[in-house]
Parts: sequence; structure tokens; C-alpha cells
Amino acid sequence: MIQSFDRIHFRTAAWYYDIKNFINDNGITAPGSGAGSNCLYNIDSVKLYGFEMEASLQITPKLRTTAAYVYQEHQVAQTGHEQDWTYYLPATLPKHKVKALAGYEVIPRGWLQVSARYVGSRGSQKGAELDDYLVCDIGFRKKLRYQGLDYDLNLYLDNATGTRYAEVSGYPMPRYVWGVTLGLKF
Amino acid sequence: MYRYTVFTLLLFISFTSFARILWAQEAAPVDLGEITVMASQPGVDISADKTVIHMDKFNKPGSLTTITDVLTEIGGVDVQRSSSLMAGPGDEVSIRGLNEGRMVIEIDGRRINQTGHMGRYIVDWSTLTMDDVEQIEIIRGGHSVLHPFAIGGVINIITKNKDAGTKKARGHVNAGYGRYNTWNASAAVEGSANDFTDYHFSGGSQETDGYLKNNFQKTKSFNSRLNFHLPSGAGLKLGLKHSEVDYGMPVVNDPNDPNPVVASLYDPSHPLFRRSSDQLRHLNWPQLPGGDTPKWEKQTDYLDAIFTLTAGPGTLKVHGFMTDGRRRTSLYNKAGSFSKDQFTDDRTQGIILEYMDFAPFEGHKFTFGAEYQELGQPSATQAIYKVKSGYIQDIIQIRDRWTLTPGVRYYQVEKATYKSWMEMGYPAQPPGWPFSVNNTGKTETDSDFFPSLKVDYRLTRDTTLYAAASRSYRLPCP
Repeated sequence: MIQSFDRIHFRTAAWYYDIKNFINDNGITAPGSGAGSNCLYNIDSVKLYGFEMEASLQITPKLRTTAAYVYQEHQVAQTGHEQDWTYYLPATLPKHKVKALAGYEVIPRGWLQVSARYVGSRGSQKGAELDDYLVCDIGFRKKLRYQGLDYDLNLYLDNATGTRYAEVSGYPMPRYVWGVTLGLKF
Repeated sequence: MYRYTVFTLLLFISFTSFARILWAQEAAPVDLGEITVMASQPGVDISADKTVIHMDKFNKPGSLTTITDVLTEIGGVDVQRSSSLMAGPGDEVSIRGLNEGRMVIEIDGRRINQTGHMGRYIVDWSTLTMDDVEQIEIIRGGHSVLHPFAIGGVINIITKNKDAGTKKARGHVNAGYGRYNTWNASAAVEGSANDFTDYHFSGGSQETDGYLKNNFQKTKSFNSRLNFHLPSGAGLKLGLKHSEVDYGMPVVNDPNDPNPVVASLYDPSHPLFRRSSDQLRHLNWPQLPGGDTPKWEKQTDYLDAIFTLTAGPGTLKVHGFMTDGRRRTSLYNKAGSFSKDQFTDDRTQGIILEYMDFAPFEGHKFTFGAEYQELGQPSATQAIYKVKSGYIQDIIQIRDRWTLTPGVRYYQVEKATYKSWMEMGYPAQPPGWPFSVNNTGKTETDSDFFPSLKVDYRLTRDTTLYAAASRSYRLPCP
């Protein structure tokens, strides 16, 4: 059900794929030579389905938030070629994912921004299940004009929550990644 | 083994918005009146057709140096990275469960995906810097026949073209620094040289020590765009996007590694990284610490020439393109011996001929096109794939509320493949197969029609419903 309220706006979509002769690639984890030709095979049917929602909410003229949710599923027909290292790319993606972004104009032409992502548990190439995680980035951006030039200052702290997480199994992400950028337009 | 891939898609979308007018850059618009657009965040417009990200307005915490920095924030797009500090060649982007192996990534409407062979990456996201990007379009689903091989969707990178007629040059300089000795610098200048010529030049440099051991990265990029305004409303746009990526492959950093030499090289100042970690697409096996440095040095050029001409009732477009990649890889093989500077290259090139906005009848708008594309390795098999295709799409407006978009694309794909040891007459797999025997020289051809249909119904001023079903094809590569 979709409804337009005064300050809330939605988009939602559902999808269903039935892919025949899906080429599965196990080359990168292949035993032996590792050559892809040893490890590619066709799967009769791979089905993908899910839905996605996006919402935008303008709470005040200075505060705006957006959020997106995705649910996705997959079904893979068995081929008899499976081994213990068989994996499917869709299986490494989360079933549930939420993204949110908020911006608030705290001072004239100065915005405080918060970005958050929740990623549900998902599989990995070698069978392990990766835990879900919530990671949050914070930034402050200020635009100013000085002596006829436009400046853009951006301060940020990525993974401000200090979350221990990995998007790819075995590759831990850094925590508390701070940075600053300065731009000048002429 | 290789067969064509068929898919069907049923999609239902509802949509509300601020009432704004949008018909962005996709070809063949029909005047639908007021199109609903959701301005979900500054710089992001979402319509029933696509999400458009305007880079001059887009805002998020953190740096914006490569395309994946943007895509990470977009709903419905999955970005899987091995490092959050910079985009790497092993990063993957997915829409609706399908990664770039089943999506189309384009620059100015032409496909940049590689074969996926000899390195297995389809799109190297580390080469797609933001210096010359004006906007990014995301089309979810594969219902548009205007984009070849689109199953999961399309990500189209539109390069800067906005400042036509701005005689006064303008530009910007940016610099940034962050943790792990991560810094970036970029500069751009653009304007018009005269009434007939617009220009854009930009360049940038990014560098990081990385988080994992040996996972350093240095990227340099240079972009050049020239737009010529020719007589009779014709135009010519020439583009070059060049990048150089020096990428260190993360090495095992584990005090409990089964190899005692590797275990003794554990460095506690870097995070734990085990050999059991998932493998990235460009790496077949774990890389090891020691005196040698596993890395690759890669140069990529994206070249485009786009000629447009208003011809009769429509617009003619001729687009020649090339993506050329060269890389030298130094790494440990599975047995643990190190090899330096192994050279591999890849090239995708082709031409698109398109006639668009042709409206011979009221309520119809046609696009016709033909395309030829080669994908291969200049130093080996020059054309692993030769793709010929033709397509037609009509946008049919039925009264105020209904829009039908039927289309069909015909593909003929010639593939340079190889012989199996069975068909070569061997009683069993020869030792060292497939490298010990010359098994090349076999070709296969696929051809078929792939139709699509999309139906839009404008339920209310702010709500649009649509459903689409299509059948598509994918090159049989990893």
C-alpha cells in the first residue's frame, strides 16, 4: 500500500527473476590450477525475488531523512556439481538491509549528516555465516564564501560506532576512520 | 556448457513524490506530462524509471572519490568492499541479487564491462573516479532493450557536459586527508574555448596505506572532455578517462598460520588476516608476507567519441568506444613461489548507431539501434566475443494514464572458446590440462530475439504503477 502524506513519500517495488542456465563460477576458490574453466557450470534455474522500499521524510525545513529497506531471497536448483567449496553470489548478500541518511542544517550552510547501514547476516564463499552489523558514519559540511571564492569544508568520522564488521568474509573493516576535506571553487 | 541466460521479471512499483517534472537522459521520451519524482535526499531523484544522482548536489558523510562511495548510500544497491578506505578491484556491486556480471555498467550510455577472463573482474571499480562525473543513473531491472545484457539493472555514469556555452572558465580544487595516511587531491577546469568548443579537464590522485597488511593503494586519474558544436545542430563529444592504479594485495597476517615462516611474520600493528578469508575476484589464492610485494599496477583508458545530428523527425547518434586495460601483476602462486610483472591486457571496443525520438504517429516514439562490440585481449585472443545486436523500442502513450514500452533486441554472439579433451580424442584428461595442450580454435555462435514489455499506469497525480517482463541474454563469462 502506497500513500502520499504531506511530508512522507514512498517508493516500493517487488521483483521476481527466473534465470535459466545460470553460470556459476567457483574459479576463485578452485582446487588445482584455479582456472575458471575447471569450475564453471550451468545451473538449470536460479530464482531471485524480493522487494525494496524507500521513504523520504522532511521533518522540518532543516531536517530531512531518508531510509531504504531491501529484502531479497534466492533459490538455486541443485546440479550434482556442488562441492564443499561451492558458493553462489546471491548467497553472499544479506536478506535484510536497511540504509538511512539524515541531514540537519545546524548553522546557515552547515549540515550535520548521519548515515547508517544495517546489513543482515549472509553467507560467504567458504560456507561460514557472517554476522549482521550496524555501522554509522557522521559528517559535518560547511560551505562558505570568502573573498569571492566558494569554500567547502567536510569533516567526517566513518564507522563512528566502532563496529567490528566485514563486508567480505575475512576482511575486517577499520573503525573510527576520521578525515577532513577542503574544496575551493573558482 | 555455455548457454544463453533467460530471465523473466515481474515488477510492481508504486511511487509517490513531490510533483516535479523529470525526464532525464534516457532516450526516446514521450511527453507524459507530469512525471512523479521522489526527491529522497539532496541530489537524488527517483522516478519509476530510474534513480538519478546529481553529483553537484549529492551529500553524504565521508569522502567522495570513486563511484562506489556514492553507490554505498543508495537504497537497493549492495556494495561489498574489502576496504572502506578506497575502492578496490575486488569490490562488487549488486542490484536485486545480481552483481556486475549480470548488470550493465556504462559511461555515457555505452557498456564498459570486460570479459571477466584473466582476472575475472567484470568492472574494476577502483578505476572509476569521480573527477569528471556529472551524474549517475541507476535503472533497476532489465526491462530496457536500449542497454545490452542488462538483467539486474544498469548503472550509467554520465560525464560532465553541463557547461556548454560558459565562456568564463571555472573549476575547483579539492584536497583531503584521513586516518591510515589516506589522502586525496583533485583539480578540474572547464568552460568554453569559443562558440563551438567546450572543454573539461580534470585530474586527481588518491593514496592510502590501507588497513590490512600490504593493502596499500595509489590511484591517479586524468579526464578530458571536448564538446564541439557543429553546423546544423550536430555535435561531437570526445572523451578520455585514464586511470593508473597501484594496488597492494592483502597478505596473510596470522600468528597461527600453518606455515611457521608466515606465522613468524605476524605484525600486530595490522589486523588479523587469515588465509581462509574469502578470495577476491582477481586473486585465486592467499598472498603471503615476506620480502616480495604482491601487487598489481594497472592502467585503464576509457575512450569515447559521440556524434549526434538532428536528422529528419529524430536524432541520429553514432558512438564509437573503447575500454583498454593493461596490468602487471606480481604475486605468489598456489605453490608459494613468487612471480613478478606478469602482463595481462583486455580491451572492449565497438560502435553504436542509434536513431531516437522518431515519432511517425501520434502517441508513439521509436528508437532504433544497432551495435557491434568486441571483447578480448590484444596480446592474445583479440576478440573472445564478437557481439552484433539490433534493437527497437516504442513508447506508446494511451490517453493520459497508460504508457506501454515494448521493445526487442536481437543478438548474434560469436565466441572463441576451446575444445574439451574428450573431443580432442584424449582417453583421459591430459596432465597439466588445460595449459599443457593447445585447445584453442573452436568457435560457437548464439543468436536469438529478446523481447521486453513495460506497462506504466498513472494511478494518481503522485502514484505510478508499473510492471515489466523481459527476456535477456548474458555473455557466458564468469
